[in-house]
Amino acid sequence: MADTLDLCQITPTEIGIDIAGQAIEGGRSMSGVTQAINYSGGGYVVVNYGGINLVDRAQHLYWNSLAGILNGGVTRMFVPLWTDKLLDPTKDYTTNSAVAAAAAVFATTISITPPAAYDPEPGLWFSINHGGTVDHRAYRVVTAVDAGASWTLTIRPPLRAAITTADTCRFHRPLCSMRLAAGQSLPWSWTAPGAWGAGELPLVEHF
Amino acid sequence: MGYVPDAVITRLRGSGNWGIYFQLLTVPRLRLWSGPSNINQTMPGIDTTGPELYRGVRLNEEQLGQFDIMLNGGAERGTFTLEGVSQDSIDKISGIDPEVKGARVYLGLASHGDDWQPLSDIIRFQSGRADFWSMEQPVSGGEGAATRTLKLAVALGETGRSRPRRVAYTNPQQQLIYPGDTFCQDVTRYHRGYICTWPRF
Repeated sequence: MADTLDLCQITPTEIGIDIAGQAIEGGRSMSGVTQAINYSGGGYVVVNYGGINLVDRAQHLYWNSLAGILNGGVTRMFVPLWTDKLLDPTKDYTTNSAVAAAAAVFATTISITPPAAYDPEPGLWFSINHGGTVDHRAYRVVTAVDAGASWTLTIRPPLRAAITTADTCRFHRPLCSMRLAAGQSLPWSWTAPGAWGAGELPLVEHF
Repeated sequence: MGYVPDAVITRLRGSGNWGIYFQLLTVPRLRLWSGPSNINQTMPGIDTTGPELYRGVRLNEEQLGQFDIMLNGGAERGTFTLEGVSQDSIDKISGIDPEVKGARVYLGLASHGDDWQPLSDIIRFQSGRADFWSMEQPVSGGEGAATRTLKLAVALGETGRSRPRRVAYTNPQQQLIYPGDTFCQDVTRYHRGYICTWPRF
């Protein structure tokens, strides 16, 4: 079981969350229009937490222990996605939504039942704990249709594993199984006299 | 409808999402595709019991090679490489030394819709025979990252390492395209350059 990253200890000030995938283009045509083909299979989640200011001793300690886990770029962690900006401040997202119907691996249409407190709006992120070796995976809501008892969502990227009605969707700080981006490390440095340190945490979805 | 479904031909004319699928008929079979996560798909004629799980290998742009379509039995040899293999996997593979020689290799693609769902079964466009596998890890200096690579050498068409293979067109392939046609059923009896005597009745 992987550790969960403690976002409140590292408090990033620059946050980037994206789904990376690539299209390749053919040669340039006479009209200047090119065709693009995408082989990426829907892409994968990329998170970049930058501008991390380490102020007190606990934060410096946490950064070092984090570097010990993540350096090398193989060990995964469950990383909370700091999507608070997307959440409606008047609503309570801490209750998870329930999966309303089973869906196969790689599906992009799922059916969920949210609690009365909030609606699963397009643009929100959520995560599902698939268990096994897949564990927590994050998805982005593309469209959401209220179907009475449940909501029908289309999501990206496609489901990493099959889901059943026993699963839940976490909208508040969704978790994703991630590791450090290739070739990156977390050097610990600080500057006297303020003893502030700054760091960057580039993460990619773990497979 | 032809070998390639009409809906897929329409997609081929423009930009779109595609999946590249690979199957190696060892025991157990190795099924891979170009995406990041797993998918259930069917390779018609090969996956005879319905959809099977294809594992995502996250094909990157540099790895995307090119294949010539087999013409009159003439084709080239191919090498499939898998980069970024973990030391753990290498140890496991070296220990059991999988028997790949002679195993059939199939390569196909399928068009995926805008929602990434496959629009058809896998359309096979290349088949071959596996010859041998190898692995390498070039030493990298300075800040370069070392990458372990697993390679599978494959004979496509009638090419072979020691001597030419005899058969380029196969009856199963013909049956896939034209069910019931008997044109290729005796093809295993001939090799390339064989002069067939026209029968006299």
